[in-house]
Amino acid sequence: MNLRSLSVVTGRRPTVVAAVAVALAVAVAGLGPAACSGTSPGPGPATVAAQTSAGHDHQHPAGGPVGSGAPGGTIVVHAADELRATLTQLVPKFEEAFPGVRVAVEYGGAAEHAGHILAGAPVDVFVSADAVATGRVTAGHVRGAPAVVARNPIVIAVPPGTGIAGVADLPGTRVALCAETTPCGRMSRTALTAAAVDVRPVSVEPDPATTLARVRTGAADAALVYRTDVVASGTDLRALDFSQALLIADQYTALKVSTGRNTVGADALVAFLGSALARHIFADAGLSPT
Amino acid sequence: MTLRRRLAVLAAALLTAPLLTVIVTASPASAHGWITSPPSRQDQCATGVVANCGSIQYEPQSVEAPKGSRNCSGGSSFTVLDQENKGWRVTNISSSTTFSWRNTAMHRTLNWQYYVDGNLHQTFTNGNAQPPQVVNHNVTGLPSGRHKVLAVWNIYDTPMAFYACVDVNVGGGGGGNPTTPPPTGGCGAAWSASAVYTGGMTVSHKSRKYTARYWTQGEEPGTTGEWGAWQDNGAC
Repeated sequence: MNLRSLSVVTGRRPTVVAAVAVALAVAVAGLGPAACSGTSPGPGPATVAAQTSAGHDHQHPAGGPVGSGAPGGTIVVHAADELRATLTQLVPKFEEAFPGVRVAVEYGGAAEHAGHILAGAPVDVFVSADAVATGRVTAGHVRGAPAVVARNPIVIAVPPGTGIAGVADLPGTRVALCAETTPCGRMSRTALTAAAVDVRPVSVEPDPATTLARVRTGAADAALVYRTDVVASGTDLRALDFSQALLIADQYTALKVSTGRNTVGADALVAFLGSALARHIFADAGLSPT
Repeated sequence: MTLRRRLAVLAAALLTAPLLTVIVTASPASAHGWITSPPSRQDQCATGVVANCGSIQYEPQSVEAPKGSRNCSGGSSFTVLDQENKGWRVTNISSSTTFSWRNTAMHRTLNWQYYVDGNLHQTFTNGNAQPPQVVNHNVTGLPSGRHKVLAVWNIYDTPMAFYACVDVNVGGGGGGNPTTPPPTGGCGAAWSASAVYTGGMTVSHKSRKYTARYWTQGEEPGTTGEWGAWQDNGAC
């Protein structure tokens, strides 16, 4: 369709043009990701339209879950960027289990997402490791209890055959750290302080991948990074846990947001995120079980 | 076709596009069956006995490929099953042993064929019927020693088959059938905490019947909430 053909018809057949316009609006709402523009304080129009158009038509799909009130329609999720890889695996399994359900995930920064929710944007589920943002949403915009679905601790990355068995072995070895301007660096320092271990880094790197590369090349004996960084590196480096890091690990918390309209869908999705299947897939990415 | 008519058709297409999207994405993936006892290679991936199997661990029922293969993967994308050095657990069995399939989609069946080290050993048929959720075959006359048993479930009305390899040591002590499924009452097979279930499989637990919504292991039916892993189908 092009604009010229539309304008030709405008003069003669306004009803057809209106129908096309409605069709386009519905199509965009149903197909596009949930919109949440950075400046819009109000509810995202796309997510609202998705609820009313696709949702009601699919409450009782043929062959779907038995019983009234089964999950259906679109479930709007706002999730932390770091969860993209795991949620990309999990969402199709969830949609397969509940025919007629569509999960629309918007990935982004937790603070921005929380801002949208506080401004009333209709979001069904919010998943974040940002404690401040989670707290802002929890204070007045959730249904039920927050559920921790995954944890991402700082670990000691070591090569196979290393003599390093734990955090107490780090003094006297060559350790690579992330810069303290990064979350990886800040969490590593906090964990080492909690463990009362004095580490003199052999190198301080701008990101986890470079930090890990120091160990791979032999320039360092060990590196402190998130466990997901070790898995994502695809190397044969091992990840050693230590209790002080586990205690302060980033916690990914799922909230059922009260601004959302798909409450049954949110209930089902949060239950799914806490299932054995989700725990396994989170663990595959290095996100330790809760 | 006039322009008006063309636009009307376009409008109709666009109106239904979101609905079609939902329907298409909701269509269930292929889900069929695998051997749980003695534990097949994909079962060992699913239960975590063997690690780092890739996606097969969440869909042990999906080793589907055209008929005629003699590979453990059947020529499917799950080539990890073809790796002989993966540390597959070898089960000690006797020369006459029950092999159990757990099915999640009851396809009409051409036959089940059992190959021992690549040679056809035994064939089972069921009159081209749809099998129940659990199918047991008493495989007899197995040669003693360490063998790789390839079981092939040939589907009646499609060109496809399902493949499962079982690593066994016949007459190697122990014998018998270590994980025979519990007897089936009127309620269906009892839930087992160690077993892996995939979407659509049914169990009984505490006199109630449940259907798994998705892959689950170790989650007790009745404890997973209204929309969790187990759907409550009522008393039985």
